[in-house]
Amino acid sequence: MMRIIVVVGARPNFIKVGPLMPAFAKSEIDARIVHTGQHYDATMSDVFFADLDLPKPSWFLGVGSGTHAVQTGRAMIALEELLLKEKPDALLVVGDVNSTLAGALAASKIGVPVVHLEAGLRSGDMSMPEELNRLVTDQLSSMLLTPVPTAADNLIAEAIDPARIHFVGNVMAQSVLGNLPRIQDRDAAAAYGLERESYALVTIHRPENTDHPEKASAIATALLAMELPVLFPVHPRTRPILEAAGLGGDHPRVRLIDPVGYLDMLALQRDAALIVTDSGGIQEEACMVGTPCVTVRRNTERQITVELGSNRLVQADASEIAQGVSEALAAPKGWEIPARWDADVADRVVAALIGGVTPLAG
Amino acid sequence: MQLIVVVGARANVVKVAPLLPALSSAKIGVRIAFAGGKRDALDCGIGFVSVFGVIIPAPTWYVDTGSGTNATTTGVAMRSFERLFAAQHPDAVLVCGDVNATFAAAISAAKAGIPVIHLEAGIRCGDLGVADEINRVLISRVAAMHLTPTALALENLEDEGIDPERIHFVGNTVAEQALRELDAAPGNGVVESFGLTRRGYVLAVFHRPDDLADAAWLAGVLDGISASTLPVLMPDAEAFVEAATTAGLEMPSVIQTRSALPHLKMLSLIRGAACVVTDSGGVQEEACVLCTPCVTVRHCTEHVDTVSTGANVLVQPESGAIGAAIGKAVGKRCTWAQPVRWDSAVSDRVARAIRRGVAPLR
Repeated sequence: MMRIIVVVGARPNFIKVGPLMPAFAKSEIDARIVHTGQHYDATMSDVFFADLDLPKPSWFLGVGSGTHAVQTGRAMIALEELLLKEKPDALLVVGDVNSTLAGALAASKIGVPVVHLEAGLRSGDMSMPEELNRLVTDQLSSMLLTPVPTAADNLIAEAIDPARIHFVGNVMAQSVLGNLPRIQDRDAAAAYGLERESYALVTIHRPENTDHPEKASAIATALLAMELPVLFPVHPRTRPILEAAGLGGDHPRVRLIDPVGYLDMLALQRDAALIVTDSGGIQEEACMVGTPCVTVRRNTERQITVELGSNRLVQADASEIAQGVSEALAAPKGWEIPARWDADVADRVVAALIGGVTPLAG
Repeated sequence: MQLIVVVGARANVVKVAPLLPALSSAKIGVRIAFAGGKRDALDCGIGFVSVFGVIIPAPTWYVDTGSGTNATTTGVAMRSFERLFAAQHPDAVLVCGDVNATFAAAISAAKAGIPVIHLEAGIRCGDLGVADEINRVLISRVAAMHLTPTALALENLEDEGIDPERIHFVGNTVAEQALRELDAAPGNGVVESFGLTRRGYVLAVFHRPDDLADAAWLAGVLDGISASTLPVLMPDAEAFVEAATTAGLEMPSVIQTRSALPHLKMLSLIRGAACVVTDSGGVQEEACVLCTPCVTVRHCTEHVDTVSTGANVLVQPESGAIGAAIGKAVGKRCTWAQPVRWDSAVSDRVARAIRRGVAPLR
């Protein structure tokens, strides 16, 4: 039986791993989870694990918060130690967080093949730490599992052997499809006194927006000018920045709330009239739940959602955001779902792994 | 322009030594971050240090890279460099070679938005099972300017999708340093001081920790060398002898061991030898440029040009193959063409390229 270790470090990772674990369990793959603790908030982490029915991690590394180098360095050292002890047949890393990079670096140097799920996405923006994590992780990977067809083109342009690339689709989409039936009757918006289809859901957390007061203020201006009421789940770290930008206090229409669990967030996305975000995963989830999305960023690695019409990219500028919002609300729904964003992604991952992971050495 | 030059290991010193005066004359402000271990840098007054006889300006910082596994040294070095770059904000960071500290400096600078200049970029051995090769490939992914020692290295980078405008074929500073040191000390009598005659001995240089940890490799090398009809001189032999003793192997009497020697003595011994047998990257380059046939005991080499031009042969660690290769090499004459731009003008080309500006990655 093939033995693999799956690295998770942050919330977007949990969502991607959710559908994989049951698929591994019914196959010939013994998969165990290591939680680096990169984003560790006891309540939120537990809520996510419960919401996603994730098995308890076999190891918790307690890396904690810190700068990029501190997080990556601590996770690398702890993961190397674990890998030397456990000697798995492969290490599966997901996404583009520092734990992803740390796992790939630690494993590749000691000859443990790396499998990267969500490989080949590129924003083209090297000032994003995630883009550097993606570029480096993909070079270290023995097997690259891609969510969209263009990801393979990106990888081949970087000299990755096409034989290592498997177009499995988007596992996050599978998670949405699997969980929507469970929340049919969940009305998460009601708790905030909001009616379905009558509010905008907003998440903004990226340094490119929150570290620049003029951008944060432009976003605040745009949100305050919106006709729809705004529900804005916000990380405690980001809250003071948004308050300083003018989103503080008991504004009648713009409400900052604490982060919510996965299933509540999914329900809030499904029931929103519109989503405004700078998150990668939410651009994809919005596409899946049928809610138009406006992405406030310089660029996106989820170009496919823009091409298919579920998402539009705007700069952090009040009038650009306002225009994006009115376009999104006016645009026809019923966009096409990208190929292989379906309920079989985890099975394709299993099939690729069972086919064998060829080490890079040689 | 303010540049931080990262010397990742003792062996990096020869790569940057010729560069530093050239950069200063080009009005580029250079400060050195030395990760090679402070005790190897001996103060020689008036602002210079000597690292095994190679004189460089005194480092401004000695950077802690810890000791231990790949993950530990890389992780510790990442944190140290992240702190240094955050405090200093240089306009660019120059890294050279392929050790863990080089990669750590490169990724930390890239994540801080500081352009990375990579000296000795683009060389490849083709085996990602080699930790240095992983570092080389990764540094190329995050660097903003690539300075290559050979035309082949330039092609390798283009094949990996690196923007050709960012690549400069400058030549080999290791060759430049060797030529400069020997030009300054002609007829220095080093060979005779070891009781040897010109072309009357074999020089053996082995120091790769992975090789020394492999008992079968050691046995093959010792057996192969002991077949030499010429005396064999092995400088810097402590680690080798210790490894052999640990492996229960006896040092053959044909081998004379010595402790570590200053670089000029090493160069003089390389130039005077009938042939060099080694697993060192730098020695392959130095033997090529100093017209001494080289036998490299490794399964691959990143100094492919030294092989294709006829200066170097690659042999597997089997006694018969090594013995035969040494026998052939000692009779060989230096008829090979020197690789292009392995000359005394490399550092001027580097200074010109950097003077023209280092465009940050998008």
